[in-house]
Amino acid sequence: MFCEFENFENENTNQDGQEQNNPGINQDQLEQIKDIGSVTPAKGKHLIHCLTIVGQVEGHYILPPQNKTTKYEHVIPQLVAIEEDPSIEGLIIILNTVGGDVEAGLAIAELIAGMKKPTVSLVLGGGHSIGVPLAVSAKRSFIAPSATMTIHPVRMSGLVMGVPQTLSYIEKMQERIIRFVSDNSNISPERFKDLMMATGQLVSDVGTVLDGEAAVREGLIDQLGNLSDALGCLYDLIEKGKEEA
Amino acid sequence: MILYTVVPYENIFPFKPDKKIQYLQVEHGFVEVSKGEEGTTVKRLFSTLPSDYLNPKYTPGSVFKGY
Repeated sequence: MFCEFENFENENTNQDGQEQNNPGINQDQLEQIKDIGSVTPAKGKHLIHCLTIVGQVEGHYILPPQNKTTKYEHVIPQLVAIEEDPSIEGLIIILNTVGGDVEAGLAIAELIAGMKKPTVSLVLGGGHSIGVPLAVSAKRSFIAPSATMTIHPVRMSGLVMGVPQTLSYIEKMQERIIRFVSDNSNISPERFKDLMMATGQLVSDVGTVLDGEAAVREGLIDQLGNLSDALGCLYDLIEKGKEEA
Repeated sequence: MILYTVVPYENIFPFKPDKKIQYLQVEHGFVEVSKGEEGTTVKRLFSTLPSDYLNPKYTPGSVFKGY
Protein backbone atom coordinates (compact mmCIF):
# COMPACT_ATOMS: atom_id res chain seq x y z
CA MET A 1 0.00 0.00 0.00
CA PHE A 2 2.77 2.32 0.95
CA CYS A 3 4.50 1.95 -2.43
CA GLU A 4 1.31 2.58 -4.35
CA PHE A 5 0.75 5.84 -2.58
CA GLU A 6 4.31 6.89 -3.10
CA ASN A 7 4.02 6.35 -6.86
CA PHE A 8 0.79 8.25 -6.95
CA GLU A 9 2.41 11.18 -5.29
CA ASN A 10 5.34 11.19 -7.73
CA GLU A 11 2.99 11.12 -10.68
CA ASN A 12 1.19 14.09 -9.27
CA THR A 13 4.26 16.21 -8.85
CA ASN A 14 5.52 15.29 -12.33
CA GLN A 15 2.26 16.25 -13.98
CA ASP A 16 2.24 19.63 -12.35
CA GLY A 17 5.93 20.03 -13.11
CA GLN A 18 6.24 21.61 -9.73
CA GLU A 19 8.03 20.80 -6.56
CA GLN A 20 6.18 20.82 -3.27
CA ASN A 21 6.35 24.51 -2.54
CA ASN A 22 5.53 24.25 1.12
CA PRO A 23 8.44 23.14 3.26
CA GLY A 24 5.97 22.57 6.13
CA ILE A 25 4.48 19.59 4.32
CA ASN A 26 7.79 17.80 4.09
CA GLN A 27 8.41 18.44 7.75
CA ASP A 28 4.96 17.04 8.45
CA GLN A 29 5.72 13.95 6.43
CA LEU A 30 8.98 13.41 8.29
CA GLU A 31 7.14 13.65 11.59
CA GLN A 32 4.59 11.15 10.38
CA ILE A 33 7.25 8.70 9.26
CA LYS A 34 8.81 8.97 12.70
CA ASP A 35 5.50 8.64 14.53
CA ILE A 36 3.57 6.08 12.58
CA GLY A 37 5.96 4.72 9.97
CA SER A 38 4.00 5.99 6.98
CA VAL A 39 3.31 9.17 5.14
CA THR A 40 0.02 10.91 4.43
CA PRO A 41 -0.34 10.31 0.71
CA ALA A 42 -1.45 12.28 -2.32
CA LYS A 43 -0.54 15.88 -1.81
CA GLY A 44 -1.79 18.24 -4.45
CA LYS A 45 -0.44 21.58 -5.58
CA HIS A 46 -1.46 23.22 -2.30
CA LEU A 47 -2.35 21.77 1.05
CA ILE A 48 -6.10 22.11 1.20
CA HIS A 49 -8.67 20.59 3.49
CA CYS A 50 -12.10 19.37 2.55
CA LEU A 51 -15.20 19.69 4.69
CA THR A 52 -18.19 17.59 3.69
CA ILE A 53 -21.61 18.58 4.92
CA VAL A 54 -23.86 15.60 4.35
CA GLY A 55 -27.21 14.28 5.47
CA GLN A 56 -29.02 16.38 8.01
CA VAL A 57 -27.49 19.29 9.89
CA GLU A 58 -27.96 18.32 13.52
CA GLY A 59 -28.99 20.88 16.11
CA HIS A 60 -29.10 20.75 19.89
CA TYR A 61 -31.02 17.49 19.90
CA ILE A 62 -29.29 14.30 18.81
CA LEU A 63 -31.09 12.79 15.85
CA PRO A 64 -31.94 9.08 15.80
CA PRO A 65 -28.91 6.93 14.88
CA GLN A 66 -30.25 5.89 11.47
CA ASN A 67 -30.10 9.51 10.28
CA LYS A 68 -26.94 10.62 8.59
CA THR A 69 -25.94 13.81 10.29
CA THR A 70 -23.42 16.62 10.27
CA LYS A 71 -22.82 17.58 13.88
CA TYR A 72 -21.79 21.12 14.73
CA GLU A 73 -19.63 19.97 17.63
CA HIS A 74 -17.53 18.08 15.07
CA VAL A 75 -17.41 20.77 12.43
CA ILE A 76 -16.84 23.92 14.50
CA PRO A 77 -13.48 22.84 16.04
CA GLN A 78 -12.32 21.60 12.64
CA LEU A 79 -13.02 25.00 11.09
CA VAL A 80 -11.16 26.75 13.89
CA ALA A 81 -8.21 24.37 13.44
CA ILE A 82 -8.13 24.98 9.67
CA GLU A 83 -8.15 28.75 10.10
CA GLU A 84 -5.41 28.54 12.73
CA ASP A 85 -3.03 26.06 11.08
CA PRO A 86 -0.49 27.99 8.98
CA SER A 87 0.28 24.98 6.75
CA ILE A 88 -3.33 24.69 5.51
CA GLU A 89 -3.79 26.99 2.54
CA GLY A 90 -7.45 26.63 1.66
CA LEU A 91 -10.74 24.88 2.29
CA ILE A 92 -13.21 23.27 -0.06
CA ILE A 93 -16.71 22.67 1.30
CA ILE A 94 -18.71 19.95 -0.40
CA LEU A 95 -22.42 19.93 0.26
CA ASN A 96 -25.02 17.24 -0.18
CA THR A 97 -27.50 18.03 2.52
CA VAL A 98 -31.25 18.09 3.06
CA GLY A 99 -30.87 20.93 5.55
CA GLY A 100 -31.67 20.75 9.21
CA ASP A 101 -31.29 22.90 12.28
CA VAL A 102 -31.29 26.62 11.52
CA GLU A 103 -29.00 27.74 14.33
CA ALA A 104 -26.46 24.96 13.82
CA GLY A 105 -26.43 25.68 10.08
CA LEU A 106 -26.07 29.42 10.59
CA ALA A 107 -23.29 28.88 13.15
CA ILE A 108 -21.25 26.84 10.67
CA ALA A 109 -22.06 29.25 7.81
CA GLU A 110 -20.98 32.28 9.85
CA LEU A 111 -17.71 30.60 10.77
CA ILE A 112 -16.95 29.81 7.12
CA ALA A 113 -17.90 33.35 6.05
CA GLY A 114 -15.59 34.74 8.73
CA MET A 115 -12.53 32.78 7.62
CA LYS A 116 -9.58 34.62 6.13
CA LYS A 117 -8.31 31.57 4.27
CA PRO A 118 -9.56 30.97 0.73
CA THR A 119 -12.80 28.97 0.77
CA VAL A 120 -14.77 27.47 -2.10
CA SER A 121 -18.05 25.56 -1.86
CA LEU A 122 -19.47 22.99 -4.22
CA VAL A 123 -23.09 21.84 -4.13
CA LEU A 124 -23.59 18.31 -5.42
CA GLY A 125 -26.85 16.41 -5.34
CA GLY A 126 -28.68 18.78 -3.05
CA GLY A 127 -28.08 21.81 -0.91
CA HIS A 128 -31.53 22.32 0.51
CA SER A 129 -33.00 24.57 3.18
CA ILE A 130 -30.22 25.56 5.62
CA GLY A 131 -27.77 24.16 3.02
CA VAL A 132 -28.34 27.42 1.10
CA PRO A 133 -26.58 29.69 3.66
CA LEU A 134 -23.85 27.07 3.98
CA ALA A 135 -23.31 27.09 0.20
CA VAL A 136 -23.12 30.89 -0.08
CA SER A 137 -20.83 31.27 2.96
CA ALA A 138 -17.68 30.44 0.97
CA LYS A 139 -15.78 33.13 -0.91
CA ARG A 140 -16.76 31.51 -4.18
CA SER A 141 -19.60 29.02 -4.67
CA PHE A 142 -20.12 26.36 -7.32
CA ILE A 143 -23.04 24.11 -8.13
CA ALA A 144 -23.19 21.03 -10.32
CA PRO A 145 -25.80 21.37 -13.10
CA SER A 146 -27.66 18.32 -11.76
CA ALA A 147 -27.76 19.59 -8.16
CA THR A 148 -30.86 21.21 -6.66
CA MET A 149 -31.51 23.68 -3.89
CA THR A 150 -34.85 23.99 -2.11
CA ILE A 151 -35.71 27.36 -0.64
CA HIS A 152 -38.60 27.38 1.80
CA PRO A 153 -39.79 29.31 4.86
CA VAL A 154 -38.56 28.40 8.32
CA ARG A 155 -40.69 25.89 10.17
CA MET A 156 -40.52 23.99 13.41
CA SER A 157 -41.66 20.50 14.25
CA GLY A 158 -42.59 19.25 17.68
CA LEU A 159 -44.32 20.93 20.54
CA VAL A 160 -44.37 24.72 20.37
CA MET A 161 -46.14 27.29 22.46
CA GLY A 162 -49.26 28.47 20.66
CA VAL A 163 -48.65 32.16 21.28
CA PRO A 164 -48.07 35.04 18.85
CA GLN A 165 -44.50 35.33 20.12
CA THR A 166 -43.70 31.93 18.64
CA LEU A 167 -44.64 33.21 15.20
CA SER A 168 -42.62 36.35 15.57
CA TYR A 169 -39.65 34.25 16.78
CA ILE A 170 -39.85 32.10 13.66
CA GLU A 171 -40.20 35.17 11.49
CA LYS A 172 -37.10 36.72 13.03
CA MET A 173 -35.21 33.50 12.47
CA GLN A 174 -36.23 33.66 8.83
CA GLU A 175 -35.04 37.26 8.59
CA ARG A 176 -31.61 36.18 9.83
CA ILE A 177 -31.37 33.57 7.10
CA ILE A 178 -32.50 36.02 4.42
CA ARG A 179 -30.01 38.61 5.59
CA PHE A 180 -27.12 36.14 5.69
CA VAL A 181 -27.88 34.75 2.22
CA SER A 182 -28.34 38.17 0.59
CA ASP A 183 -25.17 39.50 2.27
CA ASN A 184 -23.11 36.58 1.02
CA SER A 185 -24.50 36.16 -2.50
CA ASN A 186 -25.84 38.26 -5.37
CA ILE A 187 -29.53 37.68 -4.64
CA SER A 188 -31.62 40.49 -3.18
CA PRO A 189 -33.46 39.90 0.11
CA GLU A 190 -36.79 40.61 -1.63
CA ARG A 191 -36.15 38.07 -4.37
CA PHE A 192 -35.02 35.41 -1.87
CA LYS A 193 -38.18 35.94 0.15
CA ASP A 194 -40.26 35.67 -3.03
CA LEU A 195 -38.60 32.32 -3.79
CA MET A 196 -39.33 31.16 -0.23
CA MET A 197 -43.03 31.96 -0.56
CA ALA A 198 -43.54 30.86 -4.18
CA THR A 199 -46.46 28.55 -4.82
CA GLY A 200 -46.98 25.87 -7.42
CA GLN A 201 -43.55 24.27 -7.20
CA LEU A 202 -43.82 22.01 -4.17
CA VAL A 203 -46.73 19.69 -3.50
CA SER A 204 -49.05 21.44 -1.02
CA ASP A 205 -46.23 23.60 0.24
CA VAL A 206 -44.62 26.93 -0.53
CA GLY A 207 -41.06 27.37 -1.73
CA THR A 208 -38.90 26.93 -4.80
CA VAL A 209 -36.67 24.18 -6.11
CA LEU A 210 -33.75 25.60 -8.08
CA ASP A 211 -31.57 23.42 -10.27
CA GLY A 212 -27.91 24.30 -10.78
CA GLU A 213 -28.55 26.62 -13.69
CA ALA A 214 -31.43 28.43 -11.98
CA ALA A 215 -29.41 28.91 -8.77
CA VAL A 216 -26.72 30.67 -10.81
CA ARG A 217 -29.28 32.70 -12.77
CA GLU A 218 -30.87 33.91 -9.52
CA GLY A 219 -27.44 35.03 -8.28
CA LEU A 220 -27.53 32.65 -5.34
CA ILE A 221 -24.51 30.63 -6.48
CA ASP A 222 -21.57 32.19 -8.32
CA GLN A 223 -21.13 29.67 -11.10
CA LEU A 224 -21.90 26.25 -12.52
CA GLY A 225 -19.08 23.81 -12.14
CA ASN A 226 -17.74 20.60 -10.84
CA LEU A 227 -14.86 19.34 -8.76
CA SER A 228 -12.09 20.44 -11.12
CA ASP A 229 -13.61 23.94 -11.48
CA ALA A 230 -13.96 24.31 -7.71
CA LEU A 231 -10.41 23.08 -7.03
CA GLY A 232 -9.03 25.27 -9.83
CA CYS A 233 -10.76 28.31 -8.34
CA LEU A 234 -9.46 27.47 -4.85
CA TYR A 235 -5.89 27.18 -6.17
CA ASP A 236 -6.31 30.54 -7.97
CA LEU A 237 -7.55 32.17 -4.75
CA ILE A 238 -4.60 30.71 -2.82
CA GLU A 239 -2.08 31.93 -5.41
CA LYS A 240 -3.69 35.37 -5.62
CA GLY A 241 -3.57 35.64 -1.82
CA LYS A 242 0.13 34.78 -1.85
CA GLU A 243 0.90 37.40 -4.51
CA GLU A 244 -0.86 40.08 -2.50
CA ALA A 245 0.89 39.13 0.72
CA MET B 1 -44.97 -6.65 5.87
CA ILE B 2 -45.49 -3.13 4.66
CA LEU B 3 -46.21 -0.63 7.35
CA TYR B 4 -47.98 2.51 6.17
CA THR B 5 -47.73 5.07 8.90
CA VAL B 6 -46.88 8.67 9.64
CA VAL B 7 -45.28 7.61 12.92
CA PRO B 8 -41.50 8.02 12.79
CA TYR B 9 -39.50 4.87 12.13
CA GLU B 10 -37.61 5.10 15.42
CA ASN B 11 -40.83 5.14 17.45
CA ILE B 12 -41.86 1.80 15.98
CA PHE B 13 -38.45 0.14 15.81
CA PRO B 14 -36.42 1.54 18.68
CA PHE B 15 -32.71 1.54 17.99
CA LYS B 16 -30.72 -0.87 20.09
CA PRO B 17 -27.00 -0.36 19.75
CA ASP B 18 -25.40 -3.79 19.83
CA LYS B 19 -21.88 -2.43 20.01
CA LYS B 20 -20.40 0.39 21.94
CA ILE B 21 -19.71 3.41 19.77
CA GLN B 22 -16.77 5.60 20.69
CA TYR B 23 -15.02 8.56 19.18
CA LEU B 24 -11.24 8.58 19.16
CA GLN B 25 -9.04 11.54 18.38
CA VAL B 26 -6.66 11.09 15.44
CA GLU B 27 -4.27 13.47 13.66
CA HIS B 28 -6.68 15.77 11.82
CA GLY B 29 -10.02 14.79 13.28
CA PHE B 30 -11.46 11.70 14.85
CA VAL B 31 -12.78 8.27 14.04
CA GLU B 32 -16.01 6.65 15.14
CA VAL B 33 -15.18 3.16 16.32
CA SER B 34 -17.15 0.27 17.71
CA LYS B 35 -15.72 -2.16 20.19
CA GLY B 36 -16.59 -5.77 19.58
CA GLU B 37 -15.06 -9.22 19.88
CA GLU B 38 -12.90 -8.63 16.80
CA GLY B 39 -11.38 -5.54 18.38
CA THR B 40 -11.85 -1.85 17.76
CA THR B 41 -13.37 -1.43 14.29
CA VAL B 42 -13.41 1.84 12.40
CA LYS B 43 -16.98 2.88 11.55
CA ARG B 44 -16.54 6.36 10.18
CA LEU B 45 -13.82 8.95 9.77
CA PHE B 46 -14.30 12.64 10.48
CA SER B 47 -11.42 14.60 9.03
CA THR B 48 -11.00 17.58 6.77
CA LEU B 49 -7.68 16.37 5.35
CA PRO B 50 -8.69 14.64 2.11
CA SER B 51 -5.71 12.27 2.14
CA ASP B 52 -6.82 10.81 5.47
CA TYR B 53 -9.56 9.08 3.50
CA LEU B 54 -6.90 7.25 1.47
CA ASN B 55 -5.11 6.17 4.63
CA PRO B 56 -5.67 2.43 5.19
CA LYS B 57 -5.57 2.96 8.96
CA TYR B 58 -8.85 4.88 8.87
CA THR B 59 -10.70 2.77 6.31
CA PRO B 60 -14.14 1.84 7.68
CA GLY B 61 -14.21 -1.82 8.57
CA SER B 62 -10.54 -2.04 9.42
CA VAL B 63 -9.31 -2.77 12.91
CA PHE B 64 -8.17 0.44 14.52
CA LYS B 65 -4.72 0.21 16.02
CA GLY B 66 -4.28 3.84 17.04
CA TYR B 67 -2.17 6.33 15.18
